[in-house]
Amino acid sequence: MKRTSELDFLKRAYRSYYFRRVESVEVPEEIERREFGILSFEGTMIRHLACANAGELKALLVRESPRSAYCSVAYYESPQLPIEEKGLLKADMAFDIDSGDLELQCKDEHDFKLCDSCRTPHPLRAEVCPSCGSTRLLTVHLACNRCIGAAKEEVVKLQDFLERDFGVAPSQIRPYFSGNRGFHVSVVGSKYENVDQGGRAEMVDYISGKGFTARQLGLSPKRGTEELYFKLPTPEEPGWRGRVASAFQDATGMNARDVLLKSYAEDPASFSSLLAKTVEKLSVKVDSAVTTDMHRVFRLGGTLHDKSGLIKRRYANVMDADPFVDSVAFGSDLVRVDVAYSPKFTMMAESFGPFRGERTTLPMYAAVYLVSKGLARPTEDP
Amino acid sequence: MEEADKILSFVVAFTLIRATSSHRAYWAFASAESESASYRLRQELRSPGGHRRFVLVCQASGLDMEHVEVRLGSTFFSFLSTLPSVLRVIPASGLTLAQLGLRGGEVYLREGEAIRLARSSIRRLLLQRLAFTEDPRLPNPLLKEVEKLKSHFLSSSSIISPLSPERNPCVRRLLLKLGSGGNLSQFERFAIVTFLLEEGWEVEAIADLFRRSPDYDERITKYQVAHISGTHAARRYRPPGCRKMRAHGLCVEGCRLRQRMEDEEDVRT
Repeated sequence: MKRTSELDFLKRAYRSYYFRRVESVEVPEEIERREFGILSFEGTMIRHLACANAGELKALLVRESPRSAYCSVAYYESPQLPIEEKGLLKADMAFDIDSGDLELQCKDEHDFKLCDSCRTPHPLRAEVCPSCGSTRLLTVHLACNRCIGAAKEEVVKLQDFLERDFGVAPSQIRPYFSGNRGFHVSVVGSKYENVDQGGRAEMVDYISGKGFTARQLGLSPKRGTEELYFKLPTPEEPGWRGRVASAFQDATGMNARDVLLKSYAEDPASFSSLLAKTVEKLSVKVDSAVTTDMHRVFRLGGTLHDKSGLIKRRYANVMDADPFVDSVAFGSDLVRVDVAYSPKFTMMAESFGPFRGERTTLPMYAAVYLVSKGLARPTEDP
Repeated sequence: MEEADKILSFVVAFTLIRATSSHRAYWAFASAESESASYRLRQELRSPGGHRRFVLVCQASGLDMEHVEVRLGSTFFSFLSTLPSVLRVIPASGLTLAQLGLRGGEVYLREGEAIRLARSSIRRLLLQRLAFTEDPRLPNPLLKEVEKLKSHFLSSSSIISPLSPERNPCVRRLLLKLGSGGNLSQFERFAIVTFLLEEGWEVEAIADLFRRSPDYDERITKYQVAHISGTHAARRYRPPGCRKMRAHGLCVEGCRLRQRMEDEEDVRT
């Protein structure tokens, strides 16, 4: 848990950011129909806020300088009323891609637990601090360039599904660096604004490849080889059949039907496993709860992420994203901090750490990052 | 029956069912009518001009549909719909989006798929009409018929009538157990709720089925069913598949789904 000194440090930093840079906060479409929410540094979440215009929103942010600021994906008749009385009109689509869900090998290098009592680091699986016996262990998730790279690939796959399969125009797709370990993608003004929760769940299942099995390829033990061949898909087919056919063809250089039939005929059991792996590779890993929930409030673009102090920032092309440079919110004024532990990390093209139980001087942006993660404390020194 | 009589009998049936104010009755009626409609639509597609009539029926029920007849790769598609329209009806159709031919926000459909979506759309339309039609004012002789219908839908046999016994005998057996006041396990209750949600049942109607349970609590039951439907948790649960049902000892001998699963297992081994 953060102490008063850490909270005060972050409050001052956030206040300075919103005072200087509130104009870079993204104003959502039809602002008067949106619900806003803010999380204070004291831990209080206030929802059901409404803003009549951009000026009111910016005034709110400058006045409150919240730890986190959110905007509804939904548009309401009366956004300030309780949820059952708001009157849902329509909703943008929202997707959350978190590198922590991608099971990357670099996780062990930068994710760990920190004892809140004696401030010693331990592996993720630790449940009790072996140094002091405390059970108050803070879980720390950092992100490296490999994490961001993997998350970018998921965004690219998602964009492909949105455009090719769902017919969403590229101009309606808005990718953002989330501010922490991944990306958000908003779809605004599309024909899916009135799709209900059930329909959104179907769309998430689709991009996850759920329900696609060997049966959908036309494969069945009851069919003879020749009959099977003409049931198999080609890359020109719409939907998952075409995607899987393309994947097999690209991987082998062989005609899709030939390679599918050959693989199946050789060993149907292994083929099922190979197909499942192919589908998994082609699918997009998103947080289904975020997309399905039409009443969700999503972090507002241009605001700070409380777990990192980085900005949630929109990109025209996600492959251009360099979050540890572009999303840095603070300057390079030097700050003295006591760092309990930190692996090496890079910001603004400069490497910092590793640190272990030491006092050091860091640029403000790096100090905010470590304090936000619970890994450092500002010193009492003036 | 003359065509005019058929139309009149539908109107009378609709009115009587509406008068029961019973969600179970609504569901049974809508399911039976949509099942009957899908059978007739299948027949229509074999007759001259049938594709045009099929499209008209779909559009009247709120499902975008166009007759195309196009081969893409190895698949011949007869119809084309729009994804937003399909998304409204697919949850209760037994299909998943991954099975369908999506491209550019349009959905290419084979004949069987189009019929299933049409059935789901018709059922949805009927349920909506039943929910939003005003209470009919009926003469006394018809009110007696309405009371008979209400009693029927309160009895255990009516619980399973909308379900095809051939399709899901395992769930049918669970519903019979529920209807006779049996105490179901957590998994058995979950299976019933998720299956019926997938079939398009409303939360209220499903919660109502559990009245016969020994530990029934109306508030908790409604909350739990709503949670499973995704209303609170924003996560929708899917019905357990055949393997899971079998693992819990709930699979029924003679089910053709079980036979298909065993065939696939034979292939793998």
